[in-house]
Amino acid sequence: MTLTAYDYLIIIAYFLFVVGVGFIIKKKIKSSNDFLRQSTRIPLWITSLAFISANLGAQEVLGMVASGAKYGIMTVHFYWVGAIFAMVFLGVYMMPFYYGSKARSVPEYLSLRFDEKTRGLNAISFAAMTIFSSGISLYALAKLLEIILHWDFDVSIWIAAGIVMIYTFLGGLTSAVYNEVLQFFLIVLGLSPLVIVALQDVGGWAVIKESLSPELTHAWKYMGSADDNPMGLHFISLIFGLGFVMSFGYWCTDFLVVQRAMIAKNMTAARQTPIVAAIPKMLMPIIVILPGVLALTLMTPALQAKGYSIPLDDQGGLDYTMTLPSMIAHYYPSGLLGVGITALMASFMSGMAGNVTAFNSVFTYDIYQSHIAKNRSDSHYLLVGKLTTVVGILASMMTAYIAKSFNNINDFLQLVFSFVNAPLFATFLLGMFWKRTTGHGAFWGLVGGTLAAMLTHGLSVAEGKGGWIAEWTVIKSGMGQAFIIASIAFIANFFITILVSLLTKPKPDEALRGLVWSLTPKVAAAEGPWYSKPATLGLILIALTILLNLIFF
Amino acid sequence: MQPLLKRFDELNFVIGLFFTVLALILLLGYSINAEMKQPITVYTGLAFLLFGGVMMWLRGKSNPSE
Repeated sequence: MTLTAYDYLIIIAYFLFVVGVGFIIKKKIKSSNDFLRQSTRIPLWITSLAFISANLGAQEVLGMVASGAKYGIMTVHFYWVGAIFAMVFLGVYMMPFYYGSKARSVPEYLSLRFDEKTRGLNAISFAAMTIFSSGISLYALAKLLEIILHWDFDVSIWIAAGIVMIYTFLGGLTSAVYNEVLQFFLIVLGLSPLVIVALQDVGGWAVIKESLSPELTHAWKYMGSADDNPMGLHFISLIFGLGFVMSFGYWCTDFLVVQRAMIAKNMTAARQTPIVAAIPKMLMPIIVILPGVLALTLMTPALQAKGYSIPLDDQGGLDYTMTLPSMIAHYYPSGLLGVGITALMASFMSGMAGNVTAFNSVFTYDIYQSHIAKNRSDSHYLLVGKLTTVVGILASMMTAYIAKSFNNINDFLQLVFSFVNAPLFATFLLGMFWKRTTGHGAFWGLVGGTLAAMLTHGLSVAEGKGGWIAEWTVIKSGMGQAFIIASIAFIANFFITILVSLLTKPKPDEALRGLVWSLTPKVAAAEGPWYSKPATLGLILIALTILLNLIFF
Repeated sequence: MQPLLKRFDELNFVIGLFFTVLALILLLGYSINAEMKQPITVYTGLAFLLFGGVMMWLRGKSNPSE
């Protein structure tokens, strides 16, 4: 793939605009709150688009296209089972606690609801995960540019990290959020022509259905048995593992996304943020899954004359990760190639900036201010927040180089994320809806859930991974293994938390007002038309999601 | 001059301007560069121009005090 002057012009224009946004926001940064939370009243449409854009990182865009090519239309489960329901739940039931408690972060909510040790455990594990995640994003971007454009790995790392550092250092969270919205439009509008032209080239959805085997064009029909579908999953594993544990664990407790709703201008907007975000999220499969399905269709014998094929990896198998870049190279002429490459860069930078801004909030509020230096001036915390941004970016770059040196570090880190994230939803579920839950219960539940996840991985093998204690059971796919690990971690956390809570002394009711469902006055229905009410809008979205599942059954 | 500069504070204006710039690069390339003379380039350029224009127009219609 070779870029022309027009492609470079587009890339340069993008860099100038994202840095420019940082300079615009810089004028409004006067305090640590401006830098780490919001420096202006951010409207609903911006918080909503930033909410999904923070999740629209490299792993999402490249990974979902790859999954579309590997598993077909079943990949929509990550959206229509694994996202919309949890986003609606967050908006209707959980945001009143996050926003109403005045907590500045998810770990701070844990401190108010439970105690400092639960907050510390969550803050440290989250801070470490964001740095690793950001570093892996950076590594993946540099690797991609090295493969497709033959750019130097080190130069790509320094340029991408440098640009993210400039705009997050200048404008903090608001700058990252504003750029996430710009990046969202760039990703959607930059990849839409690819979907349209490839769909036209293939001959439409009817040709896809005729060309591919039926298990690749149905979402549910072949999930009665794990042996009948390409994901190797039974529908119960999918619904509990992905649809409940992993989905709610991520969308309802991960500060990276929840932070975007917590900076909304008022309670109503905070509740509406994830629900409004669910509307474009529901349609994202058109942009990130359909290209994968189209790539697979183009490789069927009847369409081989079109001249497209998914690149091969070192072992001669299909390199699904390269599906999207190879589709861009196949269909986009000069100029548009620059748009496509810029859209890919935007997805990497959006993911990285999201992680860095979440990291600096959690480090400054939940580690530095609460454990290292209490009661300092606001300008001191503003300085710490800015320095943390620089340190976060440098640590991400270091992680990117570590990832370059070890082939399997990405798999290892993804695994650690799942050990830490999977049990977390049980802690929040019990903490918000059962007032008897204690700080000791929450802490030991988290520790026990993480250990249960590690044990399950050590005793099960899938696609050659796991089984480091004993090969006790074999699971068909790595994805199935991840869902089972998450489910066991959730169940372990749930019961350990209950058991330890029953053996320890709970906080008095007065200390839990505004933090627990039964002790919190219910949020009055928002003023205004029916479509502005979170519960009504949520119900409509759930009905539409069920309809989409039925259409693609 | 001041009101024009103030518009850069609004995200819809910045996004609109960004897509307008991309559209102009694509349309300019389409008109003078043989490699870019493909229908997809001009359709994308026009779509970006329309989107950019609408975003900037929306900024103009919104209440400046917001």
